[in-house]
Amino acid sequence: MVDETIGYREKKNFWRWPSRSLLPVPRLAKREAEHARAPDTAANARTAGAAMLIAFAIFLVFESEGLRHFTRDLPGNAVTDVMVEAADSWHALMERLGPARLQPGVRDVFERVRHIRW
Amino acid sequence: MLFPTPEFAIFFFLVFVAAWALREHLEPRKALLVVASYYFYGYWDWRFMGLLAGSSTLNYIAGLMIANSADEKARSRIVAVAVALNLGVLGIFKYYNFFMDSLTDLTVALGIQRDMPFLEIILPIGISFFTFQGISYVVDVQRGHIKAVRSPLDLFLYISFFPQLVAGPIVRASHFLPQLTRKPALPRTAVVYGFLLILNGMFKKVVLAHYIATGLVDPAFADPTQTSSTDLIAAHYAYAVQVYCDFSAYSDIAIGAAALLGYRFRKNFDRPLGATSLTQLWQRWHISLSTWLRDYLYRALRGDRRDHGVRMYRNMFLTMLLGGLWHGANWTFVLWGAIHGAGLTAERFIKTHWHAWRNNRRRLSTVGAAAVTETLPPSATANRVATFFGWLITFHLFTLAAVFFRSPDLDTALTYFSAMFSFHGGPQLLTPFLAALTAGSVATQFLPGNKMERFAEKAKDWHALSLGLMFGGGLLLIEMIGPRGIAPFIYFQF
Repeated sequence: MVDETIGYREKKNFWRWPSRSLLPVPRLAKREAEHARAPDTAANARTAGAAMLIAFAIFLVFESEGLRHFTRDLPGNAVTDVMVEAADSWHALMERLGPARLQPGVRDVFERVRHIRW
Repeated sequence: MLFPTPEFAIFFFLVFVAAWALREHLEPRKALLVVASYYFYGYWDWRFMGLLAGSSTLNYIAGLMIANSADEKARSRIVAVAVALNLGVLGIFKYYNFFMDSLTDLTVALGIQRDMPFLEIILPIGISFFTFQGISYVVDVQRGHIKAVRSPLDLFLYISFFPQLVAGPIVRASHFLPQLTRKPALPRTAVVYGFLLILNGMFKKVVLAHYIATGLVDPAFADPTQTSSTDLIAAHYAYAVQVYCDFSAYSDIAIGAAALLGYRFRKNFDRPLGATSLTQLWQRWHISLSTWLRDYLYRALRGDRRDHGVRMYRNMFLTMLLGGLWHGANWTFVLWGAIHGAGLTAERFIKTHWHAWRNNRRRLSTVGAAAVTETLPPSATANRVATFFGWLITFHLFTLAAVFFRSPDLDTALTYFSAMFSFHGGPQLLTPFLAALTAGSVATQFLPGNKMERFAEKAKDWHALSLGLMFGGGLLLIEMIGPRGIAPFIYFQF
């Protein structure tokens, strides 16, 4: 894995020319160079977390059937009963709107390819 | 808790958020990861959490005792006791009934049959992996490669860190422990690389390994006598691909998950099915185990002297034989290890003598400073041909030996071979889809090894939305074409 250290971007900053200029470096460029020197872990963790949340959202929308299965497999109690009902209504909504119909369509195509004989 | 499940996704997300929220507080962060790892392990069977804690405690105390002892002999004795205890626990859980079984067979053969004390033993998941990590820690402390850790949290986390706890990679203390002493960092490349590794691992496990196993390998091995030779030939190739996809998938997800938590693990597989020699194969297959065997078993057999001649070949063979036995308490694994040991020994012998013969010929054919035409290096075409045949032989040795690896007993393996070489019948199980999956997986072994790192470098400036769409979209596609429910990883049984 490659470390995020001083990268090509800093070298390409045209506003640094001429390199021995006594002019102050523009603030924007300065900030970028500092950013490139040490990874901004907090910002990167937020980005990764946001990306995971987006992935969850995609699943909720397009795999609402899977959500139903998941809630039904949970141990039964008052909370999970509510979750099962919510998952059922959510799946019904996604079917009505269309995203939940994508999965059976893709699987049909895939199964046809899978069962092709010589 | 299996990796490709919603339970793990939720668990990992919560641990990820909490771990980065505690970034500035190293000790609470480690405590959180230890608790999460024990929860992850206890999810299978909470009774074995004590075993995991016991193993960590034993190695922690052994490390401190070694560090506090100035006498080299005493240090060696502590290491010997610690290694014996680690291996003793592993032996009881993993090999006790195998040895009793073999002893029963022997007594029957000798006509002195006795009732053996068999026990109902459940194999704790991941026991081989955390035992090997514990051994590597105490031996490394004794060898002076690392300092003994003072904080028990560090060692508990090293032994139990959940991404690698159940099926590796076998992380070295000298590589992991220093990462615990500094504030964890998360470069953007690590984020993208982590997502890519997880996607790659999920695809290999959920799609490739699953369909190859259920469509071809499992039915072929279930009853080889009722399967055509064409299917058996295809299934023996497919099994090699399946075990590669299955195991490397686990390693990929483990390395990816660790990267997202700010820790780096080394590669565990590097396109092994494209290896052009057995030596190269073992430098690319389950790298963490083969280097472990080299550093702790081969080196122990060799001692401090430099190995050569018959002694070296013997040690090499024994290392592979025991490496085979590590995979499971079954004679099929022992035979599998013996085949690889014999192959490696033969390869080393031929290479050594070939080099000696060629150097000798060069010396004789060199007159003064002028070398004659014979000393010129072989042409590019000759090199390519040699490389191709090297790959062909290595690949077939690996796939043929894998039949023993997959078979439940030696009889099944021999039946499989006899049916496979009877050359009868056309493809019944083998479909174009399965043939494409198998051949395609082998073909990817010839792509550049750093393609994902390069992509991660290019995509590091992507917005969170693009990353989320890539990660979520990829997982969604895998989920859509994958099966409902997923089989455990093959290496869980080891």
